Amino acid sequence: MEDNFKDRLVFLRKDKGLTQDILAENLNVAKSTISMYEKGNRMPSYEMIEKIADFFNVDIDYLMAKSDVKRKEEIEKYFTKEYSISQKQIELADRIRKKRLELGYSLEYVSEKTGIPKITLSKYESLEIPAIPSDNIEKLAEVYKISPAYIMGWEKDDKEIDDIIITYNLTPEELLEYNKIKDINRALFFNKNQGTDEDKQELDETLKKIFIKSLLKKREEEKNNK
Amino acid sequence: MRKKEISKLAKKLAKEYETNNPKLLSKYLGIQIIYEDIGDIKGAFIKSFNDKYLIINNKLKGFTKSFVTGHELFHALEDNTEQIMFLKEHTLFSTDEVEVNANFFSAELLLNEDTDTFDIEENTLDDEVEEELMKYINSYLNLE
Repeated sequence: MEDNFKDRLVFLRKDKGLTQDILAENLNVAKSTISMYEKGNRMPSYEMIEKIADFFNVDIDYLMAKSDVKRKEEIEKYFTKEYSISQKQIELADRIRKKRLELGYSLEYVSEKTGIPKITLSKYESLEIPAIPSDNIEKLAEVYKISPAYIMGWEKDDKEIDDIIITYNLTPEELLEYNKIKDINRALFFNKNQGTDEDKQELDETLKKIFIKSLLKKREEEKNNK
Repeated sequence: MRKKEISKLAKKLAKEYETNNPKLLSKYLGIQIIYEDIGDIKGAFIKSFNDKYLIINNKLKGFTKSFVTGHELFHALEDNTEQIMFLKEHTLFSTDEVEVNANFFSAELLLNEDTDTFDIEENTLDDEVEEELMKYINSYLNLE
């Protein structure tokens, strides 16, 4: 594990999925400076240490490897219950992350389209920033082609975000097949009786089960054919 | 006449696999059956990655269960979901005939040729299936 400043810096940077370039840009230093920090060839000034800690939202003690607690303050808040991320906020963060993955958008792409910094987006998704300003909600809704109310959880979308797509990491072809199967109108019903909405929901679950079953079988076959 | 073809298909299958049990036939033909509580829906056919599945309501019993299985088996054998979807989306053709044929197939399959009757266990005939059987018998009377 990381045990000094340079290792922690590398860890934090990679954890956020940033390149040295991007970090350098955000800290207003040359890329070579970051590279030297990470190699241990140079130590940053105290001012710079503060800046880095601030950027990664960690305590200076953590950055300097004197403590393993990233944010003491937040842990304290958590235990004193001041720090109350609501269930709604958890769900909201979950929705925007899943929607992004479902669409196959990278954080970079969304950042480019919305003008919201990538780091901020990742903080929204990881709940580091649990309250998202409404103008950013609107920007996200536009890029994800959903309504802001849906993001807020005020309305249910027909196209409920699906765990299967993420859990099974569906390829584009598999996703196509999945969407076909989920289209309940494609099932041939006995005497065209599609039942009540409740029945449809039950059937929807069954269709998902069937999809997973046949997906795993197909993947197994593909593996054996290789 | 389409009905003659369907009748031939039912008899051919029964002869080849030495059974007229739709559940067994499905098994021999590599078609999987899933039993679930799907409310008012009796059954459905669906294809996923070239695998064929029959979803049969697990509340169905005896003859009704067999009839619905036979009906869905016909859809699986026809395997023309794409065509039906096309007709539904792009034309005004009715897709009722598809259902009529599926019921006809199921009835042909389940008809006991020796006794010329349907072997129906007590209290296992539901109204909708009974109606289909009546239609089947009438269509036969008209045919001859």
